[in-house]
Amino acid sequence: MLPAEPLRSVCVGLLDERVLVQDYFDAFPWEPVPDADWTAEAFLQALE
Amino acid sequence: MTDLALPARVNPAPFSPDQVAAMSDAELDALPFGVICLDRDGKVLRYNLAEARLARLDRAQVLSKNFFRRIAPCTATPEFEGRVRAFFVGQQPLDRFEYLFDFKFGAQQVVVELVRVPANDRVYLLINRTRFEPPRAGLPEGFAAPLQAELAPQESQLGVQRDAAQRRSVRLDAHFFTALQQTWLKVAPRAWHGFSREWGWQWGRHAVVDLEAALLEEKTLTLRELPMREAMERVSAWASARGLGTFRFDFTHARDGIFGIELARSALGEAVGPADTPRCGLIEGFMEAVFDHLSQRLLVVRELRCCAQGFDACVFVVASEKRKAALEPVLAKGVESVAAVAEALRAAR
Repeated sequence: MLPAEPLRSVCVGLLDERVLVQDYFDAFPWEPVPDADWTAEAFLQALE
Repeated sequence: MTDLALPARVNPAPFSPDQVAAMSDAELDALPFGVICLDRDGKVLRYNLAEARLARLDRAQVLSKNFFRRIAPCTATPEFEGRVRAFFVGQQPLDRFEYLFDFKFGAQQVVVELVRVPANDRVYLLINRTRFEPPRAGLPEGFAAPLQAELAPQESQLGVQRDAAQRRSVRLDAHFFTALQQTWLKVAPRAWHGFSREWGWQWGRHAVVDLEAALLEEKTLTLRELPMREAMERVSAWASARGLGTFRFDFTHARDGIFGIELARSALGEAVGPADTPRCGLIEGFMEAVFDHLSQRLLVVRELRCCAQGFDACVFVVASEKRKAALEPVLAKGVESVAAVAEALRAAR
């Protein structure tokens, strides 16, 4: 599991050649996510 | 003083061919594929922005001309014109076929859908490009579609300028923005921000068509099929090429459901400052249109700080339109960074 704190860098790092616009915005947490539910892993899983 | 009453934006319904006749010109211009409306004689009645962009023709020069004779002689064939004429005397609501458009700058493989209107006095052609190729050799004289320069010869002597896609272009200095804002502040000061946001949104919808058309020609892809980095670079390059400034996109606050846009050296902000409050409403609307399209959601873009206020760069926050009610009180406090917006939104939960 990815550590929670480097999450910001994970989100920035997603702006690379791997993630397509449609996948990024479909997985983007447009509604507020409770901190406990928010992990980099969850975001990455949503992108897969 | 006049306030500006603008209708709320709503998610557009998925496109349905049988609705095309009821769509406004602005709605047709927001579609990423070509739409042409012809009468029974083949006269062009409507011609949308995407078709003009991909055919590299100026709509003003196309309307009222005969499509098969003057605009696209390559369609004066039994396989195209004959099919359209047969459609008029038939009963089926739709027809669909593939065709190869020949332009002097290249060939375009297309899928054409014919849509009947109830009065049956006109037909809508929906044109989807599926492949771009070099110009075909050995075509008969006059078969390929004419270039814009052939439709309006010697127009450059009349002060007409065009860009590489043959769109008429007007070179303005940034004082155009100054004069426009000064006019609004004189006649309707409370309406300036709403007007400029709406103007930017309409402009952004046109920019999206241009971005999509350029990408379609180059890679036969859509923006949503691009990697994030490349898509953001294309949006920024589009603006920079027009002298608007340089955009950077900041997704470090994704966990809070927001992201940031920074605009360095905003031509608009510099032209309409100094001011006590953000002034780049045009950019807010523009970016709303661009990211509405990229995300396929209604979003809200708000400027947090502006170079018109003396800041180094303009900074905008982007959120779902559904969070607008939560966002507005935060913005009313005058927060100046995306991080501060994220913190305030978190604190308010």
